[in-house]
Amino acid sequence: MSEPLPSDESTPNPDHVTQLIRAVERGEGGATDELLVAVYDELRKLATARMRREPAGHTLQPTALVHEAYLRLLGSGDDAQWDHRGHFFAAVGIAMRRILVERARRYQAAKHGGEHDRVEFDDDVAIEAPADVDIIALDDALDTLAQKDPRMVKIIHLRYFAGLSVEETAAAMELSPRTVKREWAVAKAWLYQTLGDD
Amino acid sequence: MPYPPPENSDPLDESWQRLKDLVADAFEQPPESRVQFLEDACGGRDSPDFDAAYDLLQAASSTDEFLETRVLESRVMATPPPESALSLETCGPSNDSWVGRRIDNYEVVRYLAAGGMGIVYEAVQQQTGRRVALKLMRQLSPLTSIETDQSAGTLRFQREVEVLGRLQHDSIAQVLDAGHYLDDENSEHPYFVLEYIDGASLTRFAELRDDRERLRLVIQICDGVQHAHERGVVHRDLKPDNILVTADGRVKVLDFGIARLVGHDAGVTATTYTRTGQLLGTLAYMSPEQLEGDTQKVDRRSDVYALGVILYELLARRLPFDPRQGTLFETATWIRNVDAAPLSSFDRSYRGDLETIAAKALSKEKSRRYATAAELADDLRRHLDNEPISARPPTTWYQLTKFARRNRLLCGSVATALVLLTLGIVGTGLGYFEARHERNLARIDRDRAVAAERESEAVNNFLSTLLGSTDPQQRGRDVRVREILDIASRDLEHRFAELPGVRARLHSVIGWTYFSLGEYDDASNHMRNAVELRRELDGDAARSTLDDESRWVQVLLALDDREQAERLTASSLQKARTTYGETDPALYVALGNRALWLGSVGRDDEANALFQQSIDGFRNHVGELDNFAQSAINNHAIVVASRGQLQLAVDMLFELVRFREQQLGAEHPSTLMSRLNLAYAWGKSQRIDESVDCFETWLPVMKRVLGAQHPDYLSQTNNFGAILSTIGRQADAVEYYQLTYDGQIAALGREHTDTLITLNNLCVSLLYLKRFVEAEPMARALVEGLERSVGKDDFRYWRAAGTLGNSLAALAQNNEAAQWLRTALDSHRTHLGEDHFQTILSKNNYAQFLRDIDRRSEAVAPLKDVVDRYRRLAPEDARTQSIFQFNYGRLLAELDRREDAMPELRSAHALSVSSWGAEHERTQRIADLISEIAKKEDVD
Repeated sequence: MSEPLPSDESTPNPDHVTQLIRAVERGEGGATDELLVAVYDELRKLATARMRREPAGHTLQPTALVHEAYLRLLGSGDDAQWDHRGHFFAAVGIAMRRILVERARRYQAAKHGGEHDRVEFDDDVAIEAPADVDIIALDDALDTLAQKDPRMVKIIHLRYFAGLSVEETAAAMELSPRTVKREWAVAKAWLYQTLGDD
Repeated sequence: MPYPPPENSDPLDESWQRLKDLVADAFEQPPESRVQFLEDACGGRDSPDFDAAYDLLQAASSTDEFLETRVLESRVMATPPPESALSLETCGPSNDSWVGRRIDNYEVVRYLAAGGMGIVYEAVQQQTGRRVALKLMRQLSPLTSIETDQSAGTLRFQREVEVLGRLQHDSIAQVLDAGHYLDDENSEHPYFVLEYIDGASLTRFAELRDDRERLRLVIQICDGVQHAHERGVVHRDLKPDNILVTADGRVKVLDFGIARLVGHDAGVTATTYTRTGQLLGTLAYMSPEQLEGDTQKVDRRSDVYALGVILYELLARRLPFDPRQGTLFETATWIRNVDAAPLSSFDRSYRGDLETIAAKALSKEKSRRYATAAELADDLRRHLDNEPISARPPTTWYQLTKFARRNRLLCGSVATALVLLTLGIVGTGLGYFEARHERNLARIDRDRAVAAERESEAVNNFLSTLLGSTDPQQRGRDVRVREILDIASRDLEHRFAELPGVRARLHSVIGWTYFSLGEYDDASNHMRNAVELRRELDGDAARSTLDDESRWVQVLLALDDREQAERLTASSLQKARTTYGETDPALYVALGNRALWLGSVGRDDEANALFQQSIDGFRNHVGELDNFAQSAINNHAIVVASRGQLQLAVDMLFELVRFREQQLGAEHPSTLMSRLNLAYAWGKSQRIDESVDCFETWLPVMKRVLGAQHPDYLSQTNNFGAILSTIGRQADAVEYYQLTYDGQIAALGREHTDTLITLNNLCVSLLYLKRFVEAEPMARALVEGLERSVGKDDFRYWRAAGTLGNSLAALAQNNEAAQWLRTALDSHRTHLGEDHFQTILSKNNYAQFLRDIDRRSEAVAPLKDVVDRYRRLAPEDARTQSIFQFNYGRLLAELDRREDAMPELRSAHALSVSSWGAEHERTQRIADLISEIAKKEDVD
């Protein structure tokens, strides 16, 4: 007999998220989309709230944010659920990538539309790519890279978009840290090369 | 939507793999040898692989920064620092857009401060020239936006402002006026005019003051808050930023009632705080009920909570829960669930009063806080005047039940209530008893008393931390008490390596808790450690040592280790007697434990006598029944019942149940235990309806409280089986026995005597059901098991011998049956005497067997003895007497002694009618026999 778990009103039902991850693991296509939506929504909410409240001078710990999203989506403690961490962070990576791309596209569209002085975005999108990266080009490059090296793309998702450290990425993907380091170095080189070519 | 392709597409690009490995290998070399490495690996610069690898390697050397600023970090860099919460004296970035302009009668002179809800200017009232503070609220007035009827909204606003205007107190910045202003976009917002205060923020002012002065500041704040509360105004947003202190040390609380007036009642309403760091500054002072967002629950005591935070902050120089140390989400969780670190953890001088006062004000539940700000102020005054304060430190018991409440979900099947209780008892109960007793006898060894206090403090802290750390958000939901104990067991040795006293105490607490969970092996290990440490630290005969020895005895007996229990009870008793004399609780405890052991080996008479001494001692010389004395009564009643004094047992248990129900509550495991014992005693003394009803009502409760695997629960399902068997519901009995047996195998193991006793009972019921073939191998296993676990000199073995004998007799294996039945009878007779019920019963069984194998004349004398003896010993047990008399009467009839037979049978019949009713099969059988004999007599 399980009693309902205490949760914030806005928190998705952890069981549901767990089921989604299981479905993703079983390769059910629709589940990936649904999981992404859940993670995406939660991340946006959290990122917005967190960054607004972050006091001046404090550096946001991205992993803390992601962990918080994880806790809220999946709860904590249950060993079986911890096994899903890899899948969860993969979803986080993809979600972050999508958030950024969407935002960049909208920004472009707004610029091209041109007639407004002030460009209002959804107030709650608080995640922005670093200024030095053309996120749309990066997105395209990642699509190309995924053709020949999906694992490398996954590492980029975890490292760059989900903000995991080398060790955390390694744990999430069940790889050795050394492998992650090697892959990451080559991935950055290849992306640098590819993006520079444009 | 752009979407990466499925990630499990098969990477068959071998040349990419090669290139990748090559570059990665090269990149692992020191920079200066990378190119050389590539050359060597490719077999020269001319190799087709080299160019691609070289390009990529070149790129790699430029990527130190590239993609290293991760998405989430970058946002923070790009975001301008949020506006911080400003106090009035701070002049932040100048915000002079209103300076020089007029709002109604007020001319804005200069900018003072900005906060979450608005901007404050110094202004001058035109007519009077009076200097005022003008607070322009940022948000739209909800009163005008929500109310469809504008005038009604305005009216309400004015009425509220009037109420605020009537707040006139030295410690409150007075609201002089209020109205609405239009911003540059023509939106209407409220404004307030307050008395202008030339002062410093509370925090700043307090910096230079000592603790006594700080306390006086808090008292002043309380006075102001009390004044407002008496006029029905709750502040809802008390915090140092809202409190100024003038140069001459007068406190002024700002913004009373404004939170409500502008519709910002409670809860984290993010809109109010957008783009400001204000929320952070407010969150720390929010009460748990405010964080729940239920405005209905927010009342004066929410302000009392905030006062508690302010008090805490002024003394500890830090917040009870600092939002900067965690996420907002975490902070809110802490505030709702975690107790703030005690003040004394920052400064020892806060131990006692101040710590207690702050803790009371900061209680999570409103009902446990000070009911009014005045009460808080009174206690602070008392403390300053060195008078006793009204607040009491929360008891360990309270803390633990609170833990239980908070973690109800965590505890799963484990008997939370029980565990907590036990911790409570051990943590305070016995220790308290000990200390108090020492005081009574004026034998205080100061150093030891202090040491004991330190120990219990450390123990409590350790446990609270442990329990606190199992907060759902921190450790996961599925933490079970068992796991907490395991963690505690692991931690305590190294953590308290230098503090053997603390270790001893923890071993004791943890061991006792394992005991309550029915985990006897772990319990015994911990209790042994506790006892050994105690002996070393405090001496062999110290009270603390005897206390833990007492606990260990219970565990040993539960574990069936009667030998060790024998030695321990004997030595404890001797030490208690020589050290503390004849009128000391230590002796009564030792007597009770010795009695318990005597009972466990079937020496009921001696047990009875010692229990009586123990309980009398408590009643006469201690004057109250502590937990131990209550247990002693319970255990005494069991012995009394097993001696056949059922009415006495019922009376004892009935009284005990009532007592415990009042003291501990109906669902306390101890109450449940004695209640079900009472049910058993009822059942054995003919009060069947009450008994069955009680079992059926309370067994499920016990199962819920203790869990289905708990030995105590299982002992009662066995007892219910026994009662069902007594009233002839053998099939139901078998069901309960089977359930008990399976559970006990899992919980205690096959060879535990409790398990074997259940097996014995199961066999007996199977025999009644004539399922001899099933019963016989079980009985054999039973006898063998008991021989191994308790040996042949144990009453359980004798009883099992009887059961096996009956099984064999039923299967007509007469020789072997005779041998076992004889063994049973002789053993009982030798060890327990002729008058013991089990001896009588064995005799009956043996005589019945003689009858069955046609040695009827040999059976007459024994059966007569059975009837006479039992009638004398247990006149109230009509049921059993009826059976014995029927057996005897029938035998006489079969031997053609009809005249002798008839009185016995008539008496048996009458008793049977009163026990089972005239229609019952047993009664019918007797009636049939009587009429048969009557017919024969007629014929003769």
